[in-house]
Amino acid sequence: MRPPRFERRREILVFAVGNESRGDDGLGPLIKRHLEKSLVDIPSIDFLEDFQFQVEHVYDLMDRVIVLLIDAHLQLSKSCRLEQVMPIRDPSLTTHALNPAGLLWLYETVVGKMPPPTFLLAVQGQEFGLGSGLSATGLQNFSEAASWGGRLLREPDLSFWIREAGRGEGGA
Amino acid sequence: MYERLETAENPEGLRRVVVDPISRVEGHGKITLLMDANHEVRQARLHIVEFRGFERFIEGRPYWELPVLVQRLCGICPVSHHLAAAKAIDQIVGVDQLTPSAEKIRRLMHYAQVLQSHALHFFHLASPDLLFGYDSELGRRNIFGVLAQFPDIALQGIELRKFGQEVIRCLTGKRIHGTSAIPGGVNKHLSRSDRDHLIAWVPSIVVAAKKAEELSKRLFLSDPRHQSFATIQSNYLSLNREDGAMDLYHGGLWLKDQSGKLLLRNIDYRSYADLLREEVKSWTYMKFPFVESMGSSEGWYRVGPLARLNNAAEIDTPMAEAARRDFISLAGGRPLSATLGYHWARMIELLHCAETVQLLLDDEDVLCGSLTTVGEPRPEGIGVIEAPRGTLFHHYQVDDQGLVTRANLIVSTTNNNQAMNESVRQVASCYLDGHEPDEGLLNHLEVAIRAYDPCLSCATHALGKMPLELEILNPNGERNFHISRNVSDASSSI
Repeated sequence: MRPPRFERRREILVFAVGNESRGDDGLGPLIKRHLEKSLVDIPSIDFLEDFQFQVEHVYDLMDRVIVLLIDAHLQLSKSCRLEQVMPIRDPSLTTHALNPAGLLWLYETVVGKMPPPTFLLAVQGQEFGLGSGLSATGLQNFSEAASWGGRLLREPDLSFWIREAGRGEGGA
Repeated sequence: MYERLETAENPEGLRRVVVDPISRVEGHGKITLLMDANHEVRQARLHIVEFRGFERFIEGRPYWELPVLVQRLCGICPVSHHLAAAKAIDQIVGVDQLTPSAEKIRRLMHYAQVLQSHALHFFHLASPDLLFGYDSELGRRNIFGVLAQFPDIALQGIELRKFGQEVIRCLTGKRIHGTSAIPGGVNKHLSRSDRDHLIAWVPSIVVAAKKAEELSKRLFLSDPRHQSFATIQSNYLSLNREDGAMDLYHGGLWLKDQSGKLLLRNIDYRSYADLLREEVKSWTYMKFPFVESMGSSEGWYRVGPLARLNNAAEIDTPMAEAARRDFISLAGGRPLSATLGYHWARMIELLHCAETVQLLLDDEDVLCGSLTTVGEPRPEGIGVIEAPRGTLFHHYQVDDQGLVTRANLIVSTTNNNQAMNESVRQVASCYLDGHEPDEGLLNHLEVAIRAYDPCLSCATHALGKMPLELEILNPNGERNFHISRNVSDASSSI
């Protein structure tokens, strides 16, 4: 029997982080919202966004089959990159800006089992200033990353996602 | 009591010891000590090094922006600022009484926020000291140590925080910096599907809250040192209902002295400016509020969970009320002055919040009913609320166009400024005097600060890059001693 807090939970989680007030840092939430509209025909996806990864997001990962994280990035050589995230003990746990590997490590530690397979779609951003909108680069990368994200979510198969992550940066 | 340690006579020639930053608190602060050649502490100060400036840059903004703007003061307790500003704005639009639905929705949001804030503090910030001891091995005395040895406790804290954040999200649209309160009310009901989801979850939250309260009580009573550590005598200020019962959302101001004598009873908080003054000192950006009629030496006070438990005649939820009676029985009728009693008091409040959220979720008024009221505009509004860390004051004046002409905020932690300084001085006197300060002893100072759960704000530090460094300089400015601490390897090096 599922605990009450998981009664409405779906198998796939798309979780975007970022701050739309800071230019390309808003790419994650914007892509997530685009996917939410374009994948309305897929009932098995939950969508979530927040400013940063926090310890309570451990609960959001529970009872999932596969997780896609989306976040802007500073230093990619191409528009976006998909990588599988593994749990790593990380001092970011002691700040208010946990990183994905640290979040998975926390999950493993407190829940006592491996987290669901989790992948990070990192999207290259250029402008992160307070009050700025998306840069031209950010806008272009938004399209490529959203397209890649859509393909992944239409085929939420672990082996497919691992192959896609093995392609490294790019996405087209 | 320890005012003699505020400013050293003849500071030249004294050795300066600095703890910077204070770890496992929200925001940035530092502690400085001046010690003589015999390691006697001659001066101890808590410095707040941040300057936010909100009171100035919201001047000229329209009043209806304020509940949204002032949330940006904090990412930990934004709902408190949102609601304190909303209560002030209610007065500006001429509303003195909300509809039942609006008040209950605001209360639901507020109690959920206090619950999640208290959970975060106890489980993730304070618990390492309480579970392992103030001077236990540094490598273990941190959140990683708690996770390794007590993962079930850590998970409990995460669930409590998650639940509180989820209630807030359902009401405001976001876990942090959402919107709900508007002038004269709120902008939407809780949806029935969200309510059904939360009300099925809340019984396990009440159970978890009760376990947290029992744990905090056990930890507080486990070591006799906890009764005297950082303990100071003070007045206690809080909001209570007219009958003296605890109310975190609304009430009058009550003030008790250290003996339990009632000095102020149910004072309308709109007259706070006649009651309180704030002193400025050159060595910190945080002010020192005090009751003007008592003077700055005698009129300072404590706020927050310890003050609220000491001041409340009753808590109107049964499990928390039983815990409150346990709590006050310790001091035999006087207020409990033990600073580490804050932790237990905080968990009693967490339990009260869980019980209250359960009651409010079961109230149809949060699902339907009128949401707003209107009135005649006024040029001024004052909103006061019991935030997680204590009494929070928001005061605004506006012109004919509704633009802010003046703002005054007394943030909860500011009220505890003198008390935190006194607690630091007590610890310095009792534990550091005569000893060469090492990391364990210096952590005693931090334990004193942590008990207050200060929200020093977190605007300026570089994320993930917070080493702790201690230097001891001789009177010539040459470094005699150096120790550093990095969380990633949790070790110290000399």
